[in-house]
Amino acid sequence: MNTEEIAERMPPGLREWLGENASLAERIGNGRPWAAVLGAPDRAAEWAAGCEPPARETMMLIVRRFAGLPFEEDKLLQAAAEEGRWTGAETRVAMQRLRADGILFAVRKAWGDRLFYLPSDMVGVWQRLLLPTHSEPVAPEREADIAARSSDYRLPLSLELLHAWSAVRRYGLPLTAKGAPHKAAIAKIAAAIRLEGAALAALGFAAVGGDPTPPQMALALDLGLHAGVLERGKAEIRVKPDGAARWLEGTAAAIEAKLASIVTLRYAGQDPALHYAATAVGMVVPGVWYREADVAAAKPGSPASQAIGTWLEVLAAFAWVDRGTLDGREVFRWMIDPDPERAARAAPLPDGLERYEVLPDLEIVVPPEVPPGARWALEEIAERASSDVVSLYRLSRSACERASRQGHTPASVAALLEAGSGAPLPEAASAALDDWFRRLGRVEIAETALLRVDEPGLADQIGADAEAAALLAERIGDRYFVVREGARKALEARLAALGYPPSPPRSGPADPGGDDAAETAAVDAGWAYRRQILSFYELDPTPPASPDELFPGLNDVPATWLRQPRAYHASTIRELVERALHWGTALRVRRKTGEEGPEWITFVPQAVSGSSEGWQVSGLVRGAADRDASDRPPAASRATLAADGIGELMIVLPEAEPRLRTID
Amino acid sequence: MSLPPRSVAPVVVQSDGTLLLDERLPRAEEARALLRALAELRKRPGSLHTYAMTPVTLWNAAASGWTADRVLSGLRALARYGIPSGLEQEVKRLMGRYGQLRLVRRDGELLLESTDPALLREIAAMKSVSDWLLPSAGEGAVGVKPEARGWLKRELAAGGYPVIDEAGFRAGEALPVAMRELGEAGRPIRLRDYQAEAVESFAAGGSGDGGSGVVVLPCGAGKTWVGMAALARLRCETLILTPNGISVTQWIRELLRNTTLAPSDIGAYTGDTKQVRPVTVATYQVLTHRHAGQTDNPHWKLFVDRNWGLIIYDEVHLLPAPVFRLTADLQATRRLGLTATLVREDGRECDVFALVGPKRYDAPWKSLEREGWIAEAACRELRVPLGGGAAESYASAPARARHRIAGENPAKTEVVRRLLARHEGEPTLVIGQYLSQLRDVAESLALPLVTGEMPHADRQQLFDRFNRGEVGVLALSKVANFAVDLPDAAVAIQISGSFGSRQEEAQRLGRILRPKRTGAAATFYTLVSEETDEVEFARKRQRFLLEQGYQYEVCRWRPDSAGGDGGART
Repeated sequence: MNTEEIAERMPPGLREWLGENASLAERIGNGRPWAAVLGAPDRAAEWAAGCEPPARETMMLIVRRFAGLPFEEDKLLQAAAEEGRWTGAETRVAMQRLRADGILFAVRKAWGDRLFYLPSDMVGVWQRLLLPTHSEPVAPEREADIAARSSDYRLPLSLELLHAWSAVRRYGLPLTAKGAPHKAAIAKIAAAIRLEGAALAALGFAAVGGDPTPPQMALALDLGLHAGVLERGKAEIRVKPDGAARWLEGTAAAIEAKLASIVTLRYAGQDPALHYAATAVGMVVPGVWYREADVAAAKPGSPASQAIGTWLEVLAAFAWVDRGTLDGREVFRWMIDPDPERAARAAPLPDGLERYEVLPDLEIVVPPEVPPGARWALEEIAERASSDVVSLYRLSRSACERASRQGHTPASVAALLEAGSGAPLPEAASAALDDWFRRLGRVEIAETALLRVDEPGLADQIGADAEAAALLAERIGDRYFVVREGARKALEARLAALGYPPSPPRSGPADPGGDDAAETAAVDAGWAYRRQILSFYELDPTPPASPDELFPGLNDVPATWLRQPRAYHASTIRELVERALHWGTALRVRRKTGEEGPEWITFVPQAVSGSSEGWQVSGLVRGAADRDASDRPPAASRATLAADGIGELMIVLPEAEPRLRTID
Repeated sequence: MSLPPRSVAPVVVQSDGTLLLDERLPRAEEARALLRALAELRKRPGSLHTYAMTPVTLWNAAASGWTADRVLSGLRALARYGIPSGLEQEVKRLMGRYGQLRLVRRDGELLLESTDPALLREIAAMKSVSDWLLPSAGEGAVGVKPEARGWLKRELAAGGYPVIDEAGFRAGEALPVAMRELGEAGRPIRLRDYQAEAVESFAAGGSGDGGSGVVVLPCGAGKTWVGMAALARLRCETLILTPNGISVTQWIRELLRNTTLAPSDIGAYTGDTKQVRPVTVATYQVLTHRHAGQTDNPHWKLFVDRNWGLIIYDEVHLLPAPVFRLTADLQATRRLGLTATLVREDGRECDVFALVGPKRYDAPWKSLEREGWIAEAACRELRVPLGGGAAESYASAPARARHRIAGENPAKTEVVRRLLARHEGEPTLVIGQYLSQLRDVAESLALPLVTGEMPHADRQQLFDRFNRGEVGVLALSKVANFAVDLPDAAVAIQISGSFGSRQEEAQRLGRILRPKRTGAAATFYTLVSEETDEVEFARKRQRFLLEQGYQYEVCRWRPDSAGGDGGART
């Protein structure tokens, strides 16, 4: 779920307590909508600059381990424990802080289980802030030494999709009763896609119910449905003209970047390691070569490095990156600018570059910068001859026939071509259009309502009635009239008024509406199965937990246990240790002499064992050295303290959100 | 930081080696010169010109001294979207192969040499060539059977391995011949600069005193002059092969007019005449002719009858497959190919490269046009409604008969009459596909008619009268399609054509492309029956001309319009 969806669905309770957050309140007070406030990168940056280490590192942990996927609290605590940096208590307090600050959200499942998640569109923002990469580009003078990894020419994904969607528009895509596409239609549409299915394995495409849709087509359908270019009816998938127009608005570069962003969120977002890799790859400067391992800051063969490799393979298949090798190491560069905002802000193209050219030999040369909207229109009126760095289309008789079926005339085709090319049509092209269209659209088989009269005299009489005549389009022969479109009811009434109530029709055309209306309000329009769709669940309006909720029994323990270290009786010491263990928090302990290491330690208990006399507690000793700036697991040392080795001690509770604090 | 802004460099490099040049952009001139060296011009409609970079064009470039790095850096500097990495690899791979294999002669033995012994081993293992190879002649060389010289080159080129042939040529029988000082009209004979350059490039190619290869010049740019000058330069007995008998006559006439050769030095070898003389001009057709049931070709002995020092292949893009086979056996003889295009409809460009030789010269057509060496031509299509009951016949005829009905539309005769009136005084050709139609038109308008049925001598006589201005209009059947030299023809009216042959239209236009003494532009009319399939066939035929940069204007003929070609433009 992204910030926009959250803002749309935010229950009043959630809105109320989030509004108490000073930073959010200030922004909302300035009239900014919730979606803009929750998704504002500047707010994220401000938060990251001022946050406490546990919250910051909890965020880092969430970004790395869960990305935008939902998780249960236990899973995060387990991840935190694995990395050993913060206590469970600290992590839980950090989670409450993240919720209070409108960074982390929750939904409530059935049975009251809670799932936490970062808004999907913010994961990348957080990764850039908290886990930036600092890769050095390949020196420009070394670029000539880079050997390409693939010799295949690939089309940008936006073009592959446009071709697939255009095939859906041209051939239709009927579905079986089970919702799978017909095989013949699959073949036609799959033929329009050059992208190899194998490249999509990393995206984890799983076709619905084992249908035979090949992965590349499933991708085209999924993105088409998601983008609103396609819609799913009961018996077919079809192009939604207004949706297509909306999607295709903008420059080629902007649409490619928009697509890159969707692909990252929608597919890489299904796998935290992949999402992490995708975001890291997205941080480098477009057009510049980088060493792949540098971007991941990972050891060769490590999962992070593998995820980078996997993701780059996908990006290369989409023609978004170029990969090569330099000195035996893998390198890559972006061929597009994947940042939608930057791409939208890009300087305007040199004059004419965004236009195609219609040549006198009826070929149309379409450079990559031509806006996809113009290409989409061209797909309807011309034959695509080849797709490469530039695409070539041809005007042809059969394309004109197709265009004519879509309501085009020679004038509309010429106008479209002149608008797209910014020049008058070559003489040969306009002559060809005139020739081809001359015989098109001159005859039509129409379904229409017919008024049949039993004898010519009555027909004359009806024709002479001004009101009835206005409802009739044309008289055919002496006993028949064509009824104007939509005038049937009125004509029936008029005929009845004239004293000739019409007989019911012997048989009528089927009601054209209603049988295949598009499914509305799909929770997640798309084709591919996605792991977890949060929008099924209600947003959790419960405020962040108070300290006594976080630490059950907090009000029952003596305040001194939490205030300062003291010496206690052995049984009380055990009580303190067990309480700390229960809360998942640390103890401040003075070790009795004879032990190695410092006298005062912060000790995170993990297990108590032994009898009442000779019990012992094992756990981690948190050292000052742990507190470095990296996000790597600390080198905490494991220790076991015997009951008689424990001197003064206290329970260390992380500082909870003051607003919610109930005890001091 | 965003992607660097796109440049407006003039070349688009496609992944399959297609190169698009935008003539309007800065540096287009520089790009054109580059592409001429690396690629073959395929079409130039409008301002976007299409070139193709193929193995053969890259080897031709390599033969002219280009390296892969130079090719790639040249393209990079002018390519708007860079060079697709796959293509870059391909250029390196293909050009890297040029020069790896050489045919040489040592101590009378023909050897295939390579600096890469592994490559030689690989080739020796190829089934298609192993029979032509002799046991290894030491490290880096393998012996080649002398008769396999051409076949080996052809087969290896087809397999992606060009061979540089340095085995040398026989000198041929010496022939004292030179270009005349003065032409027929008493004007000094001097080659145009590009023609002289073409001869030099050819003569310098290969080893020592001349070589083998192809000279590419546009229609009307004087390929015959290059052939004659090459002959005069090499001064040896020469066999000239041309597409048809008329062309044989014209070669002979030009040789007599412009060289010091005497009539007794020159022979014609055609269906009618079988003269074998120091310079012999033959047709491809007669060479490939053989009687039914015969396996041997009776005329192939022409190649060995004399000690030819040079073979000239006129219109080498039309060289028929059997002549390729013959050429493979003649690799010790210098060979000059002349053509307006290396693009062959049968796609056998590689055979021309391997058997005739690499491209030695390609004229910069743009500058030829600028300097007035090629006449400009205006092309107009006139749409003529079916007349004289043809509309009814057309509607009721089966599809296969319609083309002819449309082609023979009787209303076209009146259009021809009006056009002739409009162009009165300008030498005009009326060209048609159907003899009956041509006869009707010729009869109605009192025009002399040349068909294939007319004896060569009579034909030539009519052509000569036309060239001398004694006959203003000639009606021609499809004999006009190839190698008929009517340099003063300024207007061509095509009244019917075949089913969309691209070449036919170009050849017919070629008849009028010679620069006119007056400097006037030529006009090409094609008459097409409106509302018939002929419109579509005409469109196919015209595509080639549009691709070559000619504009076609479409006009509708109004029978009632007064004078001229009247009809309103569509």
